[in-house]
Amino acid sequence: MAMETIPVIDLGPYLAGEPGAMDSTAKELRFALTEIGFYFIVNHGVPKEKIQATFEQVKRFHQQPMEKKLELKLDAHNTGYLPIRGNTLRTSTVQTGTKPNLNEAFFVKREMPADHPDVLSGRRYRAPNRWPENLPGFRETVVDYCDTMERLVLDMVRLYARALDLPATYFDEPFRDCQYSLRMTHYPHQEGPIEDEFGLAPHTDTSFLTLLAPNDVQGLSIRTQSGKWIDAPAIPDAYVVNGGQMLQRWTNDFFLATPHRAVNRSGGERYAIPFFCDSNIDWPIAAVPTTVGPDKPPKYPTTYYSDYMAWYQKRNYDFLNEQNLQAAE
Amino acid sequence: MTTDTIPVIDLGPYLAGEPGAMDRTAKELRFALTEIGFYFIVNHGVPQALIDETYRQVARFHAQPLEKKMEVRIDRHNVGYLPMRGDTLRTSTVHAVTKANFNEAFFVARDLPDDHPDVMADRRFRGANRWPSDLPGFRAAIVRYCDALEQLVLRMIRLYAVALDLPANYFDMPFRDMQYKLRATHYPHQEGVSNDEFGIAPHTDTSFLTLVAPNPVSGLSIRTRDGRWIDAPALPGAYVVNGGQMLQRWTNDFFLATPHRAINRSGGERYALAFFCDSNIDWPVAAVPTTVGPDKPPKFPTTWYTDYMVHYQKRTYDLLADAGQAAD
Repeated sequence: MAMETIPVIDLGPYLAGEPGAMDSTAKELRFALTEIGFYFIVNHGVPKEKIQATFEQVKRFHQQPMEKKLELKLDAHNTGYLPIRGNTLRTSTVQTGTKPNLNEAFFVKREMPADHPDVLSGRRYRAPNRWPENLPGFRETVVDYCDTMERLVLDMVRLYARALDLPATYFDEPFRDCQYSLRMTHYPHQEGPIEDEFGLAPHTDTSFLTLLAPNDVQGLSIRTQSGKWIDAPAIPDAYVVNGGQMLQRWTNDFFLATPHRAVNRSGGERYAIPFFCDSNIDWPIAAVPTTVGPDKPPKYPTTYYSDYMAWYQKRNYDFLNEQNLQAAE
Repeated sequence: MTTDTIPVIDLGPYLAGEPGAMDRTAKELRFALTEIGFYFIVNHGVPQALIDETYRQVARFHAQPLEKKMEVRIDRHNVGYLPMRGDTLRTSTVHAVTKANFNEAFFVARDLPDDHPDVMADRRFRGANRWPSDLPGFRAAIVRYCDALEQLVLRMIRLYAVALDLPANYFDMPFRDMQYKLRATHYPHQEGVSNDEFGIAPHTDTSFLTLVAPNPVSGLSIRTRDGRWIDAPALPGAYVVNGGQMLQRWTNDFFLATPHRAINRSGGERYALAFFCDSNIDWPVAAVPTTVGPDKPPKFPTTWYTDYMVHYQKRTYDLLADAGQAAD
């Protein structure tokens, strides 16, 4: 059976610690991730003001003159500013030969202290973030938002564990220092028919889990199991959540990574702030015990975040390849 | 290549946190567990006085009259007293059809409080321990020993993780509430040569990890990979460590579960303290990510401690089978 609507999961009872709520919510999650690969969450505990404040800052960032933004251009750690049409989704198995994406974005990862061993050693994907100089309050707001998202993810991974018939704590340690990336995207209004130019072309995410903040301006469409594209409705205050290629690997394809795309036809500007989350950088990514066995071997070789992302980033970020090829390797 | 000697691993530098010691020690561990499946540890941090006191308590226990010991006879949680010849190793793939084992033993698991949910629910393998009523100080001493060994295991599993090319904290959560069992065994002196009667017949353990306390009276033999039996030397102060069937499952047979047996021909009594350790009761037991892949599927289905031990215990413990349905 193919699901043609995106289920809404109420996290309230689980987050409040109501008896039985963890398992009943996990059951809904399992359904969502095996049938459609997308779901909404409501009563997630993220204050509306935090979300609004973050959108405000993202708008401020993108309103800066281009030369200011280019001072922070995207680096080998995949943090910084990606200009419009800076990436083409060549790795996409969903639709090939699309034009570069019609969006600009600013990326931050976990805010690492300057004396962290990974920072000191220049470890890829573990560098300090690159912050704009003349936007007071920007950094604080964005870091606070990321912290809030991280706490929510740490609650949610317990539901993922139960949804996979694993002990609730199964993902606690792998996600204790989770790798995350906040993409602060600006989609200018787009005219004309959709054929091969998108705000963001059809693709699946790489992540274990992506949390897309509630948005007043629509633009997201997803492709259901039956192959139909459906528009995600705007549900007030609800996050849209989906899994990506890492989730497929963790679950031996038991959970879906559903293709999606974005086009802004609102007539105005659209901003989006997806939070992409993966396990600790050193944790091996392989099928969890309840999804494999002698008769059901792992479909994917065990991989690691750094290896996977280096491959992905090299394929998709033209901007990086042109200007910073050496640094990227 | 096979090795005919049991390697000695010095835990001192690692336990002291010396830089580089974790990786170096893990490399020795990997060698030991892929080549022979047994190793000694020295500088393990368990005080000799604690070990001596535990032996003393175990001798005290076994010196009681049989009817006192039978008051705490082994139950379906596999805790309590197992009399002489109470078990036969029918699950052994090493040596078929042996006589019942010539030892008596007292088993203790984690000392769960009476109000623990698992105890209240009488959950299998999570029951309350069965303590002798007339041995003051016995319980406290045994629990102290188990606590010390648990602390050591928590340090050692980080070496196991690194030895398997996993993050050092890989096993922290799975072993946070580890299932363990102390087997305090008494082997009376055994006369005569018989090839089917042993103190403990040839077998592999079920455990992830077994720690056998330093013993002045030797008796343990192990079978090397080329099929020869060698006697474990008595190394003062050193624990003997080995893996079992659960370790094979966790590592997709990358680490060995080496057959071993025990016979006491010392002329006197022999006591042994074996500490068997496994992950949390609810943690799935399956091959870790570095030991499987599309071209190397898991050899064993994912299992759980309870299911595995029910099967094992049913096959092995005659006494319990005689006692009736309680075993299931």
